[in-house]
Amino acid sequence: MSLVLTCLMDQGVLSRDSLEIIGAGKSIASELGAELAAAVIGAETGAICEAAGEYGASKIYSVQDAALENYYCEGYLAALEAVCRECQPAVVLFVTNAQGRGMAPRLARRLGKTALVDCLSFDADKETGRIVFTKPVFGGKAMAQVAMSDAPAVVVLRRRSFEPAQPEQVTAETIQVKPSAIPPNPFKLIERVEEQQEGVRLEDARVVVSGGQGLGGPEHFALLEELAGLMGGAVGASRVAVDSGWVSSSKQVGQTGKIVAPDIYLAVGISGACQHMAGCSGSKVIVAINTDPEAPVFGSARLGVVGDFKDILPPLINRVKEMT
Amino acid sequence: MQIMVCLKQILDPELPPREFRLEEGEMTPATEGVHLVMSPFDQNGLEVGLQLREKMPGTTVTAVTVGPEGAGDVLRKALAVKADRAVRVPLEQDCKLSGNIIAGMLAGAARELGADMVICGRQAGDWDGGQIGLILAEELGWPVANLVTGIEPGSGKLVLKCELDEGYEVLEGNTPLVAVVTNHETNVPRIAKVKDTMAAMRKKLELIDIDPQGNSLELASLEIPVKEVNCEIVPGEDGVEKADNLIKRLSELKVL
Amino acid sequence: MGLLGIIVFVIVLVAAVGLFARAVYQRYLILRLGKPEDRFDQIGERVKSVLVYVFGQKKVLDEAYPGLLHVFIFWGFLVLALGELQFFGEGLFPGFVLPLLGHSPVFFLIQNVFAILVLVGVLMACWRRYVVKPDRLDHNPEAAIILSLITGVVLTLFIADGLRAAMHPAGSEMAPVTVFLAGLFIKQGWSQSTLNTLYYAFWWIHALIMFGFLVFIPYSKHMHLIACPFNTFFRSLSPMGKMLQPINFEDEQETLGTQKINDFTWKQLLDLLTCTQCGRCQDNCPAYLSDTPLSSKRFINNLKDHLLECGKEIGSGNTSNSSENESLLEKSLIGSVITEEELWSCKTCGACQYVCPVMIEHVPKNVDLRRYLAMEEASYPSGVDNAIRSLEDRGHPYKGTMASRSSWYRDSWVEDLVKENNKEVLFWVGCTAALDDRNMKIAQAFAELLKRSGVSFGILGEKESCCGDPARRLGNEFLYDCIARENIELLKNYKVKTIVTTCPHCYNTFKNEYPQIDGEFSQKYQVYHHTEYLAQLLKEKKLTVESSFTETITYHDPCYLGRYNEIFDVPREVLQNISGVKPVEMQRTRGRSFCCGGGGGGAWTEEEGVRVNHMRAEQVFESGADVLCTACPFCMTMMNDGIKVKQAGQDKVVKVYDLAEILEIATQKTDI
Repeated sequence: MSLVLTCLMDQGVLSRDSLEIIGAGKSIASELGAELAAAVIGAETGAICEAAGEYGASKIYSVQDAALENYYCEGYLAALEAVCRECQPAVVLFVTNAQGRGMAPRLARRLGKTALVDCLSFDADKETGRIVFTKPVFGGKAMAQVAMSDAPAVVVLRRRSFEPAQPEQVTAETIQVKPSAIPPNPFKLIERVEEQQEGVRLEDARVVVSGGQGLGGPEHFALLEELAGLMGGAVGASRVAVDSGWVSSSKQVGQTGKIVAPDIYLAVGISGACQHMAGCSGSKVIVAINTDPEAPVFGSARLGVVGDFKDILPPLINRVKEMT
Repeated sequence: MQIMVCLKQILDPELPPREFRLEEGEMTPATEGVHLVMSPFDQNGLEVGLQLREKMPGTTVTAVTVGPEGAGDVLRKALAVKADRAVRVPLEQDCKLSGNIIAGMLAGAARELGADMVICGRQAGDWDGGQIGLILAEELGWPVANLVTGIEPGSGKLVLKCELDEGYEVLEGNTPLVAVVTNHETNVPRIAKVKDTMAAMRKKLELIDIDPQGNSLELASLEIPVKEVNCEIVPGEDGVEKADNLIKRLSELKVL
Repeated sequence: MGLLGIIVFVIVLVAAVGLFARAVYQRYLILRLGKPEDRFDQIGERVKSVLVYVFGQKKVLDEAYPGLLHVFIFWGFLVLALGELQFFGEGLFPGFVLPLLGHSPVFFLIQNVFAILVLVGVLMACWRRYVVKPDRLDHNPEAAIILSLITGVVLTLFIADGLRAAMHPAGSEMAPVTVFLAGLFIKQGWSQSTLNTLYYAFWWIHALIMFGFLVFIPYSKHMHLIACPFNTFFRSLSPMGKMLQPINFEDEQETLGTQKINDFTWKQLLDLLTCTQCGRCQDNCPAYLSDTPLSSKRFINNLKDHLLECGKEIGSGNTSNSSENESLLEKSLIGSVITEEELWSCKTCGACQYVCPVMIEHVPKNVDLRRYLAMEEASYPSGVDNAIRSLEDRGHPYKGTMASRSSWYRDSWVEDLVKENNKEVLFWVGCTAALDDRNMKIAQAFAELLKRSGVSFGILGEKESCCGDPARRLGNEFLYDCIARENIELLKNYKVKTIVTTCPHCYNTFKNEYPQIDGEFSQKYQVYHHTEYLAQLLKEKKLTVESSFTETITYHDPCYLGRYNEIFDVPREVLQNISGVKPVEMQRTRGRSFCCGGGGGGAWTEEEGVRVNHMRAEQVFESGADVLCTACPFCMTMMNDGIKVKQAGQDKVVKVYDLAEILEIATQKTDI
């Protein structure tokens, strides 16, 4: 029976990213009639192995080594390579976090393959084992369907594009894998700075209020902050706003920025470039506020308000204030 | 130190979606009347290389591209911001989803040039493959730092700042290495000085021939997505009315 | 006067004239630091300029109060100069009579009258300078010294002349002040010799003040007495739109743009020496009025101070300081004499030079300095770098636009010359009208008007590119040159004979700047701004007004249409053709129109503090208009934003339209 291998890089608790990988892995496995497996790497892998089992992985490959206490690409890659050589998976899954982006192409190369990064969906054929993944190209202006017929297909799924897995107890078998050698980190870590976010994390926010070129300058972001604050949400921005220096790059939503999937995504003065919409297309309701009724953003929005944000946001803020 | 910066000429990513068309019956975009530019992340990579050269005397920056003769335009741009050398690895065929092939050719160029460091942009703005630098590192057997925003010299070593999902990390490493660069306010590409632009037009582009090897991924189809969302325009005479109606609709949709 | 007196007088005279001449010669040597520039064409026209602007004081009189006081003093002094000949002559050689005039009582009357006018002028000046204290005037002792000297000259002249008339009244009968003072002195019952002594005392005081004044002139802002006639003679005779000089990139250029003082031309240096610090430029400078670091007046005067500093050693024969002098000449102006921020604050609106009474050309100096920053240093303010890069990569300055050049029209609605090359009239849409959502409506309205008039026209669609104006104003002359040459070549592929555009910047570039590159451009193409073209269509009855447009409209003169090309009346006439239109003018209008803030790269820079477009919007509200009519896409964008911001708290809603949009509404056939 072929295997769909999900690569879980967490320590201690399963992250939302990993749950999405498992969620996607489950559906791919069921389409292919394959078994769901998980690779778990760390100094102490027990908790994650157990969690992976709780979420439906029936085979769990654990690489446990003191050297692997913290993530570093070189070591984790060697561990994963060992797992792949051990279990010969048909599909290896990552998500587009820094780890997934950094490891997948290298792992694929080591296995003599080319990875496919940033996939939104898949279509699997049980008979042939051929899976076609859909991936946005040209900044989202086109969708490429790429056939991955050679095993293993190394694929990086787009974050927030697959439903996270639900718990489902199966009998899981844990296999300890011992790589022949774990290479040291070729880089010395000088410091790691976790960016402190005020309020809610952009990716976790239920409401995201984003501003773009149409805001015309950094000063109007205060309005967005106020509204987001009142709604318990976070502020995002388009690349133009970031490149113009109006807000920090950590607020950038889009294909090469943060991928968000809130309940409400309020796009203010954002024209609706594909690269940007790619970062918020998973939102439940996209609301566009733009002066130009022809702006492409209305093509992706569920609700549209045609008008100047300076006329609309202040009364909107007042209404939200009244409600809370 | 010899820095090799990999540059790709791509279809202008700023091309508005409504102008984006595909060649009739082919799985490739129409290029008629569309500007070709240097891929944005490669511009950031070039800037990182140039900044490092300024801080490390004796460093040279060589711009390398893989592609047909026309792709030489990006090399001219690199020369205009004073890259020391410009090398084209000729490749006539249209290579899409061919990270392996291109990375192999670039690795060959790096060996030929005797490079100590290779800088790549994190992903090209056309096929968004996002892996050249990483495969290249595997080919060369060099360590690779991903999502680098800047490199500084530091006590005989190099200090690399890399973006993480939340925040950043600072790494110390030695050459040879590969740096995969992402955009940051510190690596906004510089604008060429006019005299350098004029001089760049007269400079000779070097050629290095390397055989393409490897396979491309199989492109099954390429489509321009049809947006299915029907946008409902919230009515209202003025801002207040529109805001009220918006709140109402959001409540009805049960997201508020 | 005895021989000794005459000798002393001659010595003093020679000394004063010598000092004066030496200073003027030094100033002349300073000018020779500048690069060559040909300003010797059209001599007749140049002489006429001197007559009109120097003797006629035409521009000075643009402002009534300061204009009038200046005319009093200026003409007073011209007339008094003749009287001085008589005055000095009779003092030196008793009984001297100026031929023809010296016997005429009318001559003395005129002298008296003009002397009084000078005093009136001085009083008006004092009132303004020391009581009204307008912001534009500096507070330094120079003005006080000059006003005192002038007063001294006139008063001593009166007293000496009165004393003279008390002794020999002949000739002065009609001169009231002289007669009055002579009467006063006679009443004192002084002896002839006392009168004579007093007369010579005041005669000498007068002479010394005069000589002092003469020597003071070249060292003070009163240098303009000498420099202004020359600066007026050598003034630019072309429309303001031609003021930037092209660079020939074929030649090896030592420095691109202006970095050091001697990178300016001699005429540009003469401009600096001519400035009188009247401050009219600053009063009309949007950069100054919106509290940016730039003041057009300070700009010129800082350069002037630096120039004089550089010139101090030249021609003095003192070579000991020459090395220091060298270093002054080698000093980069940018960062020391003028900051980058000041340079980028200029909107190139040209109001400064439009109002300058002594014909100083401010804007080209600024752009020349920008050229150095842009081309030698590749240094731009934030926001502008993106525009420049986008211009280089895709031929328009709007990075991030979601539109393309074919977004504003529906297929087959307008004809694309690229598809079928069969039209003589080209509608050059321009980047802003093609790529900015609000401005697309202008392109649509104008195309609709052309169709309605039966004009057979085409566009270049995706082949169109930027005209190069933004690059040129931002100092990247090289990029402008490349774009311009490409466009000139592109146009050669078509049968086009007429180019009409809705953008005054494109218009100015085609009309005034491409001919600098292609000498035949103006013969090959008729260039129109759409306001001109629409006026012509109305005149030819190809377009008829069908319905009224009942609004109070104020027209905002775009800088590049008004000041740059002197098109002030045409758009107003078009508006007057529309029934129902009630025109009102803003306080700052026509040649003194206030910039929208979008020119000279302003559309791409972030303004801090007060924004120019907000100020202009306030002026719109002050005018009481319901509709603001513009004729420029930059003005449309800037004013639309400005009006929106300033709308809060206003009791009426102001709408912003382009002239074409208003005319499009008014010429719609009404179905009855």
